[in-house]
Amino acid sequence: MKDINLFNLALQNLRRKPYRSVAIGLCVAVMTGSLFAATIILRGVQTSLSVGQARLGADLVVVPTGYKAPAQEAFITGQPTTFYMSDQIEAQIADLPGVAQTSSQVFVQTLTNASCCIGEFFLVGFDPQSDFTISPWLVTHLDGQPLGPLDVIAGDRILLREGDGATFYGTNFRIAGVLERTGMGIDRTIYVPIEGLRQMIADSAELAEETLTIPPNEISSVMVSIAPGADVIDVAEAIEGNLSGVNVFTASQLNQAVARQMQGVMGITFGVTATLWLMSLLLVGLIFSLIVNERQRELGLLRAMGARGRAVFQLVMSEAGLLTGMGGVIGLLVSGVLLMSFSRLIQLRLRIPYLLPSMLEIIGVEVGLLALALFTGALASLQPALSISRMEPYAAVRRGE
Amino acid sequence: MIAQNDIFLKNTDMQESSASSALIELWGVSKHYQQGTEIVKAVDDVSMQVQAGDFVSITGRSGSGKTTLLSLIGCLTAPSTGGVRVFDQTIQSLSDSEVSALRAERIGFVFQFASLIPTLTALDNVRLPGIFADSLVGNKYALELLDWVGLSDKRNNYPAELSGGQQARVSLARALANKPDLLLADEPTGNLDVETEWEILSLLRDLNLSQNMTVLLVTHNPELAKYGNRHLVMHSGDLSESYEWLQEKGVEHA
Ligand SMILES: Nc1ncnc2c1ncn2[C@@H]1O[C@H](COP(=O)(O)OP(=O)(O)OP(=O)(O)O)[C@@H](O)[C@H]1O
Ligand SMILES: [Mg+2]
Repeated sequence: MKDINLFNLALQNLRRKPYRSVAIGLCVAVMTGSLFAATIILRGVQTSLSVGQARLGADLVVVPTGYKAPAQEAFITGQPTTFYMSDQIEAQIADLPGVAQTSSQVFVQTLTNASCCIGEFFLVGFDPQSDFTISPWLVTHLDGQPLGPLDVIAGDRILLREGDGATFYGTNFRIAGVLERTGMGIDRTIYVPIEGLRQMIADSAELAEETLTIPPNEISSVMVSIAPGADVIDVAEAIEGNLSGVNVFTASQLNQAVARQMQGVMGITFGVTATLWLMSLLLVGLIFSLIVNERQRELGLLRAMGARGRAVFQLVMSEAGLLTGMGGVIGLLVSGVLLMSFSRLIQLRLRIPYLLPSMLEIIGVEVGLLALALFTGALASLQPALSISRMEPYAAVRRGE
Repeated sequence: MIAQNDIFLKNTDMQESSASSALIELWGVSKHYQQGTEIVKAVDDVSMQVQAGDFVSITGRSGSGKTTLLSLIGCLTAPSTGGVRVFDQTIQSLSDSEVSALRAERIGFVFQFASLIPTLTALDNVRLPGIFADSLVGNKYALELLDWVGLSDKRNNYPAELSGGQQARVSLARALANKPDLLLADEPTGNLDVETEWEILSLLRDLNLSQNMTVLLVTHNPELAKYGNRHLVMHSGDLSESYEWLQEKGVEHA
């Protein structure tokens, strides 16, 4: 040993029992890693929701009766859904007090095997004249040119970029812009100007394998923004009270829908990780009382050589700290890499909105969890470390014989 | 029994305040252990003094309390009753740091049984006490010590790779690493051959004579015991001056 000191002594002791050290390290790694994943996913959902809620752009969304849940699902996860109602409804809503702006959208059947794009996505017709929910969020768009009927806007996950061409139902479109990522369903949606959409529907009989049959006077939803000073709930009640055959949901209800959806998953996840934490605490505690027990004589010898009680305490604590610290770092690294690589899979599988939190926040969570891992080691080894450091050297030497 | 003299006092209520130049001073020291329902008096009401520079041999039957006595003197354990003074400090009045400092800087302890740290090489074992003292033990000095016990060629061997006698010699080198004033050697020659035994004894004599190091040596070998300038005998927790030794030295006794 080059430098002989307490730290190196601790390191040496861990190497002495490699399997045991690795087992403890792994246990702490699994605990820290899964806690990290659970926290980041939860925060990812919250981040996505706050971005998505702002991105919805509308205070209220009006859909046909009975389609509230699928519509919310479509916004949250991009799960395609179709339902229709008369376009008269938009004008009726616009006449109600407290309503500032309205814009209608038309949802089109699932596209699963379009030649342009990978995976399932959602085609939505919107009205560029009245729209206030999509255009403000373009991150890139063709400079200065107004949106033509065949210029579409793609969500971030569509894998098409500005200027690309794309054919839907036999009609050729051009990507005019790409939306900022939200982690929500919007990312997997292509917004088509209503004029182009109607043309595509009309041409589908001739150009597409599958004919679209959406009557030209039907729409799927109406996005509503309310006037300053008006109350969201009042306006929502007014719409449902005055118009028949419609349901209204608010932007904040989207959150509640996600929260409901998340409750089960997160409850189980945190239950499991809390159990894992308790188990690692117990395991590390048990193993360290074993370690201290079997090394009593040796630690007593150190005391006889002049080590203070405090030094022996530090030695045991550094061993615990080293193990749990290294386990924690490994857990965070592995879990971090997995999270980054599979973030899209997580979103698809869990059917949740998910946006990776900011780097600063991730680092914050990492530091916090590393502290938790170290704290676990300290807590678990505190009792054995204290008891050996307080034992008389002679008793320690003798008991270990 | 035996006449009291200036170097040996038994069953005397010596006060802590009594001025003396003794390096070690015990008064009315007992160490009791509970063994089941029985109370074992490992050391029973012992009072003694050892002067700086003494070479004291201690013999006695197995279980008579020799290791316990040495541990009391080496501040490894506290007496059940009575007082221990070493280097003019009353142990009971010192804090853990102060006692630890005393052990680290001034007392070297050679244990009866193998006491090397298994994860460290012979050389690192000798360097080890340095981390508990004011100054580290340099590689060079540690090597000198190993050389002095005749083991410099085993410096990179782990304890498991050393023979019992070699381990004992490394332990001795380690006990000397922090240049102690007092060496407590508990049967350092325990189960060694006669030749090695004498080798170690001569090393101890050398330290005592050339560096004026105070040495307390526990041994089972009565021949070795003769080489001290004092010979004490333990008997069931009782400590007394060796009768033969007193006779040889011509000290009168009642
Ligand atoms: N920690 C302890 N708990 C209970 N009894 C003890 C303890 N330490 C020592 N004893 C008892 O005290 C007595 C003296 O023990 P000690 O080790 O001092 O003897 P010793 O003279 O060194 O013997 P040996 O020559 O065999 O080493 C023994 O009877 C022993 O059983
Ligand atoms: Mg003994």
